[in-house]
Amino acid sequence: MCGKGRALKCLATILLAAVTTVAPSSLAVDERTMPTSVEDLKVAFLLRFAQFVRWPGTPVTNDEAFVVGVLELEPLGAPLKQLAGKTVRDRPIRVRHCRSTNDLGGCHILLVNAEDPEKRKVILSAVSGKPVLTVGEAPEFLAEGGIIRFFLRNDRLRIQVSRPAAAKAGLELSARLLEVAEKVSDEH
Amino acid sequence: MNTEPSVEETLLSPLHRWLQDMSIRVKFMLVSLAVIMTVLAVAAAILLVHEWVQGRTALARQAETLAAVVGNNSTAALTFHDPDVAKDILGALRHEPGVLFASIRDANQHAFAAFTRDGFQAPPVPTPLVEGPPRFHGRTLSLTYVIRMDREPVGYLFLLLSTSSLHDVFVRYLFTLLIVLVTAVGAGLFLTWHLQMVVAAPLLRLADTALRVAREQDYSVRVQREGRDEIGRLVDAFNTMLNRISVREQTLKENSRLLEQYQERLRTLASELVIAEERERRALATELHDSVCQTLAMAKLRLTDLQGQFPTGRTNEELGNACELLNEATLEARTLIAQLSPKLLYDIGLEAAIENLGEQFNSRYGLQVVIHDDGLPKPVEDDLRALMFRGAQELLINAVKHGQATHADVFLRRTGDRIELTVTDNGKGFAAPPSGIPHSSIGGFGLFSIHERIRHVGGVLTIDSTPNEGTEVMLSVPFGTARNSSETHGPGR
Repeated sequence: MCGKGRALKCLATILLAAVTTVAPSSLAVDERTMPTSVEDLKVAFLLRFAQFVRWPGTPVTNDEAFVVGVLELEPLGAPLKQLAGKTVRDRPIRVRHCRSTNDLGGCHILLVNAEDPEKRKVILSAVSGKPVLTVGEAPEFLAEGGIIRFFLRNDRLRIQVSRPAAAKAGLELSARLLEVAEKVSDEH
Repeated sequence: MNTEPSVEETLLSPLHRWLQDMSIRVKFMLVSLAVIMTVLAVAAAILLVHEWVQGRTALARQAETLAAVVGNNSTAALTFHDPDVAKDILGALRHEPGVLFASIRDANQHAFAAFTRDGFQAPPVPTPLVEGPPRFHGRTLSLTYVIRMDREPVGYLFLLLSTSSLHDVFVRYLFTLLIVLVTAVGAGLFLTWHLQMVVAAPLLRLADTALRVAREQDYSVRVQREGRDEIGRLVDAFNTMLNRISVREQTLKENSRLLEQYQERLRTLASELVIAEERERRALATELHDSVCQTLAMAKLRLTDLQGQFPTGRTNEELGNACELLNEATLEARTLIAQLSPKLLYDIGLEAAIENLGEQFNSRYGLQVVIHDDGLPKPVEDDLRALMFRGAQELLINAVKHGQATHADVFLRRTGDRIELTVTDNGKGFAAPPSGIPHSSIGGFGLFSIHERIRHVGGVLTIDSTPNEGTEVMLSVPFGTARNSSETHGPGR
């Protein structure tokens, strides 16, 4: 399982390089956050999700940090560091490395990038019913109760969305986000 | 009346002059037509310009709205690098017939997705795309919209729209305005044609009446006033003027009648004067003949007897001288009698008297007078006979005195119930006036009084003369019943 995931990452990296060479515009996002790998792209996507998802309640002040939790720092460690000092919706971004379920409190977005299904299940159970946008990349992630899943199709990084999971978490997904989602999973 | 055209009239345009000759109804129609057309044309022009500007503004707003909607819907596609979704979004523009071309570029100005209407060739998209207001180029409208996400530009949308719809609307609007224009002009002319009679009809009636007055000189007609406006006042003034003209006409006729009466009385007086003069002359001549001449004859008889008693000697000689003096006195008396009242005129007739008159002129003035008598009986009354004789005498005197003639012909003719006496001479003549008798130049009061007398008895006097070609004067008078009729019905006029 672990080997399969690494191979996938390598393939994605190669494909991304090829795609950015042939059609650099298709993946271009921002000059300041020009992604160089699929990991960069994922990090960039994480932030963009914040713009298409509404969390219940309003922050007390704009100084309240927007917390992005990550289970595994690798291989996203470097791109995640680039988020330091950036803002989303005028709120400063804070990246939190969540080593246990105790670290999950206050996370707005949680990247569930653990390869172990059991660990994912524990984590997802821990945030179940809480306003946390869970993002993963395992094929069964949405079935496990995740909300957004990364995947590659036609050499492009795409997303799948589970509206019931989002609704369970009390999150409102923008129709525009659903528009770009490859598959809107309502059956889970 | 001054009929010379004024400077203003000379400077008037031919159209203005043509209009001046038009009927007032046509003028009303043309003025109304011009006003309606001008007002509608100005209104239509303003509406068209307004509509054109509004149409362009609306189209620009529509383009901006469309760009905002498409751009905002494309934020997710741009954010998550999904050109297919962007293409789908742009594909929806297919249902907007005005959109010819749309292009989305990412934040780095790289082409991301595009839409081109079938049959339309995609134009070159300006690089880089810069946000700006909609711009019209011929029949297209272009717009660049910056797609933002949290105030950050995530892409650019370039829209190219056709303005044909605007042109179509404009043409339809123009067509509608044209229909409105034609309908309004038609309705305006219809109303004008009926309403202008309110103004034109009284003026036309006034004009017709004025023409009738001028043509028939009937000053009894009046125009009915219909209102108290300017036309009503004009009608009042016209009627007042007709009243005054009518009064003056009556006065003039009365004065003319009085003048005619005076003239008739003058002619009667002149006639009576001639008759009275003739009677006085005749009475004087009779008196001279019966008393003076008889006395002279008796004196001569006595002297002759006395001379017989002194056959010789100085006494006989003195008596003979006295008898000679008496003879001269008798001759002078008889000459005077003949001049006062020609005995031949009354004893024998007009022809003999005139013949004797000719001989007298021949012997006294050296004027050769030839009498031409038609031989018909001329049973005219004494006063008329005297009138003709005095007329002949006056004409012969004029021939000698003014014409310096040496020969004259006197024609005596009877034509029906008229006697004609014509005197022609070989004198120096004169330029005869076309009508009337210039008594001051052809014989003084004598011929004038004869003319008046002739008119009084219903006769005519005609003069035909040219300078250096002699003169011909004819007196024609009725006699008998014809004269009585003329005198009863007044002079021949």
